Amino acid sequence: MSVLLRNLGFGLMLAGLISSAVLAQEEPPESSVAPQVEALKESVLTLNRDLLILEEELLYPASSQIAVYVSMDLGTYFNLDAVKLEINNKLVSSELYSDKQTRALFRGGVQRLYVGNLKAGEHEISAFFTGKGPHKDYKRGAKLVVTKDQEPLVLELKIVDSTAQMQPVFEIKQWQM
Amino acid sequence: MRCLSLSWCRFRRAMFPAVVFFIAIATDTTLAKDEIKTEVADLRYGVALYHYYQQDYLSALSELMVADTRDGIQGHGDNPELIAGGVSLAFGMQNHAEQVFLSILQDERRPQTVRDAAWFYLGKLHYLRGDFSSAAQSFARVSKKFNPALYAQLQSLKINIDIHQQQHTQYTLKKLKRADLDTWSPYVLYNLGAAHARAGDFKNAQDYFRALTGLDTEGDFKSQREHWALQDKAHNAMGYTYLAQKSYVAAISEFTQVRLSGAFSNQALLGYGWAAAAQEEYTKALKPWQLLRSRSLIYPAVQESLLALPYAYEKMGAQGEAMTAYQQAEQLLEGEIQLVRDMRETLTEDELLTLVGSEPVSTETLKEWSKQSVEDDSGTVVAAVTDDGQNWLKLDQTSIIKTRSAYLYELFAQNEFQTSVLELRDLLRLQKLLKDWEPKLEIYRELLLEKQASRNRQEQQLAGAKLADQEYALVTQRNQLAATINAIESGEDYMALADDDSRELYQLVERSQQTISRMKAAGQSATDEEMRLKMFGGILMWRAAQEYPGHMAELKARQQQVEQTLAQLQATRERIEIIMATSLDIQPVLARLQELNKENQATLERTHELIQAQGAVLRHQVDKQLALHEKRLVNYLAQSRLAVARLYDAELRKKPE
Repeated sequence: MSVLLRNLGFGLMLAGLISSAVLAQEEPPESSVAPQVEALKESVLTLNRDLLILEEELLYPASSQIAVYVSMDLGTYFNLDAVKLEINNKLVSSELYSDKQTRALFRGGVQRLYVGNLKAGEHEISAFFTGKGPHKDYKRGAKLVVTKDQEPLVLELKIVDSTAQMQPVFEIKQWQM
Repeated sequence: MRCLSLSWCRFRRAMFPAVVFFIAIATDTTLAKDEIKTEVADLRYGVALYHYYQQDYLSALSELMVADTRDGIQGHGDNPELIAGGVSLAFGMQNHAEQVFLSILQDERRPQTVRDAAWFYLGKLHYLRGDFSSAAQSFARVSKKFNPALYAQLQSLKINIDIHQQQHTQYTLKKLKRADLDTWSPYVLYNLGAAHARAGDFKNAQDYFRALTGLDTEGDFKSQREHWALQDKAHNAMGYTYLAQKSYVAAISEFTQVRLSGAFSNQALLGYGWAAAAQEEYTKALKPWQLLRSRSLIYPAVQESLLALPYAYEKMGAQGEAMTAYQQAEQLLEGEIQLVRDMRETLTEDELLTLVGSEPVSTETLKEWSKQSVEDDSGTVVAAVTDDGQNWLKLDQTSIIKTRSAYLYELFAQNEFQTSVLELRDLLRLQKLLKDWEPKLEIYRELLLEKQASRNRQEQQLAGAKLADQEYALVTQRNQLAATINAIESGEDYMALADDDSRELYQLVERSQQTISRMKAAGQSATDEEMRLKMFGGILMWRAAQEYPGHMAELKARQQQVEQTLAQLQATRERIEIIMATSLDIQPVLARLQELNKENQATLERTHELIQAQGAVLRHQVDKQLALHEKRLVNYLAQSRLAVARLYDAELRKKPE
């Protein structure tokens, strides 16, 4: 029994050590429902796309639509904590950022902060940024007066590094659609 | 750990950052590695990236699909397609990703960098499906100018393919271009060592393992930990190959180099004991085995030490201690078997669905847990579904699982299991997405119906010509007023705007004047009456003239009011006409909405069915794994009981009849 046990022990331990090396990479996954799951994902994505388009047409028609985005380029002088967005001195959106969100912005992601409706005419857009810089805390604002016409109004709240000033710069850019 | 557990699913979650990184480099080679240019040419592209970087693949793909349905993403060249392929892969849609990469490759005009990336990821797809021949063909198409950041990975995958195809002997330690393998070098060394060990060529295996253990550990803490674990594993593997070669001293030397706090220390302690026992140094064997026995019974090496320890006592002639140790082993194993059985009872399909569907923990939390587990060696690392795509079951809420989750570690590391967990998680997310649409679609339907009703009312209003009638009446009124004012003003007819009493009196004066005229014609004298009448008439006219401006102003105000009412009415009519002519065509939208709602319901039902099916798959895998543990424990229990019986028997035989 002892020899058997010992041999069993050696064999099992060695087999365990040397088999897992490449097999873990090589075994293709087997799931009886995998093909159906992928097909379902395709269906759900297509359905979701159609629903999103319909939703936008219904709630935010182009003639009154305003969309506001947030981006960072590069964001090394500023660690974003929060953004507040006001239209005509009325708060319409605010966001407290998690590390995950700021990392996504830092890596080149752009956040869609707000989508809403606006009457044609002149409007004042204000954004307030709160966060930490390398040497101090920042609470800055940016303002832009825009004229809404029949086309969707697209604005980008940009946090840009000013290498000349060694500090962040905040601006609002209006995209021509 | 790339070598130990780089599996399908982790690859699935981990490979796309490489795609994005590759794109960042391919599109702007002047940028330093850490300085990613973040400005985008199309905001929707940036939004897709934003979702992707937060592992929200569903939203990332939806963003790309919505953009594609409209005018497509502009200004980012081939990147959106590569991104779509990468995100599809990350979301477990291999067939879709394959189609995307193939479509890129079918277009000969694509830049070489993009084609290289597509061949590389297509090769990885084949590799992960186990189609090594196709993987090798795809990798062979990658040009020599391929992105240096991924070149090492490419080389390591090529070697793995050769290992799988039993062609690992073409490599030698000296000729292996380790510089090309960069950070993949330790994993390649281990894999080649293991391949030789499997083939029974222990000498070459040991050479590769030794090369690995001689490497310096570099990089961040995470990389170092992986590296240390890999080195521990290599020392263990070397130790066991020496044991197989009966080189016990060399084996002990390797086992002693395994860190006592690491995950592989149990195997090393067990091997150390066997190497000592093989040299009949049983006292030396007792030390590691006794240490092992003090550890958690969830580890196979600890379970084996329950039998190894009394085996050493027996060899030392301490039959009494051996008997006691076997009986203790029996007791411990019985308790452990019961725990495993309880786990099998507890982990039902519903329980697993709840666990997989629970909120993911943050990467930081998982790090904390892992750190604690290493520190106290309690083996109580709770498996969790983390939010960065690490796919572990969250089992900490079930007390019985909390202390025995290590039984499932082996299972957690298996591709099949990880795929099942991720697919189940994806299905639960799809279900949530579809369920979230349900109330919204109902609200939109009501909104459209309300719009429809409002339009119907307006149509009825127009059809009943109410507005037109009102407008006609007001126009008539306005015209009459204008004519009146004009007539009064041109004739300076003050009396026309006088009050009723004055007008009646003035008419009386006029009639009296006619009477006086008739009297004068008849020769009658009426001088006094005529003068008094003239004076009355004058007073009345004077009074009317005094009030005329005020009355005229009132008349004009009325005229203005009529004009305003008329203007409002006309504006309403025009607005209705515009709405009728230009507003959203409600009926087709309503029909579209209802169609999508129906599809949503049907898809939700299908999702529910697949969740049930996938839950059953997962339950089967978990139970199968636990059954294996139970079987092993039962086997050890049987051996313990046999040993006890054998010792009793031997004792009885010693006694005189």
